Amino acid sequence: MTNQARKWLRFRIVTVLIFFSILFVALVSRAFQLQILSRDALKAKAEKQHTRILKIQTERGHIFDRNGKVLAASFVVDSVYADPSQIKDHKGVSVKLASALGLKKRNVMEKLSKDKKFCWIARKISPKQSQAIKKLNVDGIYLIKEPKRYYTNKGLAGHLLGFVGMDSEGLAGLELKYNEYLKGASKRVSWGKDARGHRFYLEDGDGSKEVGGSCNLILTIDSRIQHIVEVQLQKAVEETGSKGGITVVMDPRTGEILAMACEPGFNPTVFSDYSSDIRRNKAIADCFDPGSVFKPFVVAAALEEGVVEYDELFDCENGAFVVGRKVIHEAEGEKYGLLTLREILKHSSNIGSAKVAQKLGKERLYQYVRKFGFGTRTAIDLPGEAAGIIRNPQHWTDVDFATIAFGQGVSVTAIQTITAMSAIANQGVMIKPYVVRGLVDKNGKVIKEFTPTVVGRTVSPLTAHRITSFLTGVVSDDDGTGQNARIENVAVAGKTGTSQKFDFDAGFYSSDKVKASFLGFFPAEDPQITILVILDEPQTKKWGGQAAAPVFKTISEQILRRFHRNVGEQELIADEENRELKKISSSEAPNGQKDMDESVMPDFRGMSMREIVTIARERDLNLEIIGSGWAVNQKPIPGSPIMNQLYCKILMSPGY
Amino acid sequence: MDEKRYDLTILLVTLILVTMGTVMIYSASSIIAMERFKDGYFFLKKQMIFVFLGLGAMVIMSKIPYYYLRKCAYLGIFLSIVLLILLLVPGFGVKVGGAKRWLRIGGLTFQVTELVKVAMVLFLAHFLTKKHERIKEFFRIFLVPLTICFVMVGLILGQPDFGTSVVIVIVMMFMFYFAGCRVIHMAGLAAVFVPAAVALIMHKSYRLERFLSFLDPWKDPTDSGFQIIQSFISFGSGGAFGVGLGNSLQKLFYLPEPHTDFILSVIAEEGGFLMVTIVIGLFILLIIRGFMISIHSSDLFGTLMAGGLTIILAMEAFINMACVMGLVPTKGLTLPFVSYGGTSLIMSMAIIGILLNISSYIHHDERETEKAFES
Repeated sequence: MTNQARKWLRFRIVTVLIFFSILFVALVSRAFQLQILSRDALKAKAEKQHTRILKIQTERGHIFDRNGKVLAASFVVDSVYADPSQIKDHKGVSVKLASALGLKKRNVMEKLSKDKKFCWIARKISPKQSQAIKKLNVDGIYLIKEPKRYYTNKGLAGHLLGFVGMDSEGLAGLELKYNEYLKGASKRVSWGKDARGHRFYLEDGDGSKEVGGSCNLILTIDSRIQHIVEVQLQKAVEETGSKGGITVVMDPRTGEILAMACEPGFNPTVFSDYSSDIRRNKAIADCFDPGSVFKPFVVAAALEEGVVEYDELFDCENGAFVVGRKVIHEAEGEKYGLLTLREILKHSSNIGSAKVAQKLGKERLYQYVRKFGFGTRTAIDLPGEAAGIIRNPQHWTDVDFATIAFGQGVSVTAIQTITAMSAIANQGVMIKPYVVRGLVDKNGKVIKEFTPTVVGRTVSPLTAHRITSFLTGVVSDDDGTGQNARIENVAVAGKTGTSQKFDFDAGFYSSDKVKASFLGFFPAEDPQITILVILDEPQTKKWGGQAAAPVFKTISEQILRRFHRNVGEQELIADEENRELKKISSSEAPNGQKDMDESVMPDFRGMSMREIVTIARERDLNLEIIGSGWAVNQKPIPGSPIMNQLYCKILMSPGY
Repeated sequence: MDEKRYDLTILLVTLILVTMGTVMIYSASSIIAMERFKDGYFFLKKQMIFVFLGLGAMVIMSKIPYYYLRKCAYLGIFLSIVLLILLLVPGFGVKVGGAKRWLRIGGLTFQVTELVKVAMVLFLAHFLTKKHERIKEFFRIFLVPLTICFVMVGLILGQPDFGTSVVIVIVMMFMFYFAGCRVIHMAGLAAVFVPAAVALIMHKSYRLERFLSFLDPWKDPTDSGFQIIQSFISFGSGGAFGVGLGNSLQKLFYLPEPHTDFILSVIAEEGGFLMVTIVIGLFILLIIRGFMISIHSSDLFGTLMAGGLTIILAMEAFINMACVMGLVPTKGLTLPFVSYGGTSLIMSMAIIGILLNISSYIHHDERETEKAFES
């Protein structure tokens, strides 16, 4: 071999060496690409195939009323599904299934003849039916457990609770609003699995993870009151031939909704049997012209602003008051001369209200209407609340302005109306309405607790007291419009309302189609319960005083009787938590003197710091004051007997 | 003769690879072994025996002066062809996975192609050294080797074993190149081989399927693309540093042959990119040393022999690794020294033995060796 040839030989080997080196470096870069750059994507694929995850939906939380009575609960029931590819004798199987489940043979047959591996035959069947299916024992027909939601008492408080769909998702009401909590996170159970599907446990942990269970809801609703309300409302709707009705019961001191019902009612267990119109919670979702129940707010605004005197006389023009091009009349063709504020409310004078409003002025009336919460959602913890419509005062004509004064031409919701009246009952302090007291986990541990929230001050305690006094007259006076709401030995403050419904077809307010309402609270000297009753298009009795006031009266009496054997003994439900009884005085109107009873705790609520301190000094009370602004809550509660404990804890809030 | 100086680097690299392989075979196979043979150590035990046999073969080959092997050049070819024909005789050939690759003699099975590759290199090294003066003449150089090659490849394709056929043809081409054949001649050969390979791929539907799934494995992840995707997933879940020795999940029947063809995938999952780089690095080192022995070998036969044997190892290692990483279609070739497999390990270690023997003559005077040849 020559040297030259030898060099060439070496050169050729080196070229091959370089060639292979390049190939192997290419391998390293490929490994880098797979293991470093595409790592996450491939790792995710690996985890997906290595683990089998079973999602177990935890049982949906129950819903309880304030006393622990179940309103909604979940149970596990069977559903039937089929794997049509496993079924040979389609016809025979469908005959058997149809008879066991009470379905149509043709429908079952249609499902089975589809070229699928899975199809539902019937979901959430009864235990009897599932027994029958088990007995059939047909290949390709299987049972699977699914949770079903049951509502007690044929759907007590159905509108409030809402309902859940087939797949246990809340679709309306509280079921929707608190779906996240009621549903809870699903429990994930994971196993490792090999390529043949055999399970093995992964090294980390025992394979299952509890992410968090579902919560139970505790409502402010008292199912006893709710029951009374639903029965009475239904009865009234039937008797008066109304299209429907709404009743809300609220504790004005706390904003707790004690009952909320719409008629026609509905049973959420079988929600699909009802139209969406019936399922809608009209107490919060529907707007209407409030009518005369609006008048107390107008009068309150005028008093608060000092534009009218307490005993000022208003000329009611003998039943015909010309505003712009329109003549305003009184209801039922009544004619009044000179009326005081008290009498304007007592007789529900439209002309009187319009005159009071004129003294106040458009801008200030608007401000107070907004202050009382109209035109804004109350932020109650329910989905689908409407805000109502209060037009800007710049767009009010003189006629608009006059009619707004008696509640025509504004659009409000039932919940707004009762919340505003509760503010008057609560010394002028407005509290946000709410229906859920708290969330509790399966072990009874409180997850969340909701407490009264002050929205703000509407009018001063003095104004509130005066309006209360006027409204007491509406019921107690022999010529008052609300005398049908009178309850023996209990001072009731209330206001009737009859609003003409806007006829969208004709384009004007109809005098045939009305909403009759009654809005009131009791006992007037220490209001504990506010009730709003609305009847939609009553046929036999069209006036609020005739149609709605008796409903208010019956409900109130039953509530009183229910909690205290005898109304005649002048006893009434006191604070729920303490279950303390309280004597009610039979005096007609609160005059501020009630607080001077030396033996019981005075009512500080709604008072300013200075007022509280003055009274406490007189009474030699030790105070613990939390916060600033106006008093919203106190302990011991007002009216509780002062024994040796001369101490009161007061919670203040500035309002906003 | 003076003291012999073996290439210790190539020896060390080989021993590291074999050790790693043994450990990984146990990790990869214990669950499969448990299921198939109720003995988690089944494959490990057998591999240990192969390692000892392989070490024996390596020591023996390193002791036999390599130029003695020239005498066996034609014998090797003859034996290869006989054994390949014997494979086709019913009762001798063992069919595994649709291919007859193992010859059963007594209680032992033997993968004939492992021998054929070495026999082919030995023959070519001998033949090309002998005909070195006439290297530029087409017919004198190519006629005999090509004829032998066609016979062998024909028999191997009959098994069928497409992968080994490709390796043999490529090794032959590289040896022609080393010997200094005319480039134009080799280009002519390539012009024949490439269309032949394409025709063979198209001929057998499963090869086409493999090829298509290589081009786009995600197209049909459950069927034809399954193996390669599982291998990708192994690499990916290994990440930079791996999930730890013994912790592979992919070996739980996701990877088709975790202890043989896809052992690198298990290494990648358990040892991560780090371990894969180390394995590739060891092979690069081994190949560089092999070619260095070839370059420094004092005679042409030694050079061609060392070069050819190194190319066998390099080709097998590259094709196996490229294949598990989806760079070439799946072939069914094992990773030398690392994969489970008796014949492959023993023959690979015998190759190292021959390389060691060639390395031991490097410092001898060239003329002296050539004299030994001529005598």
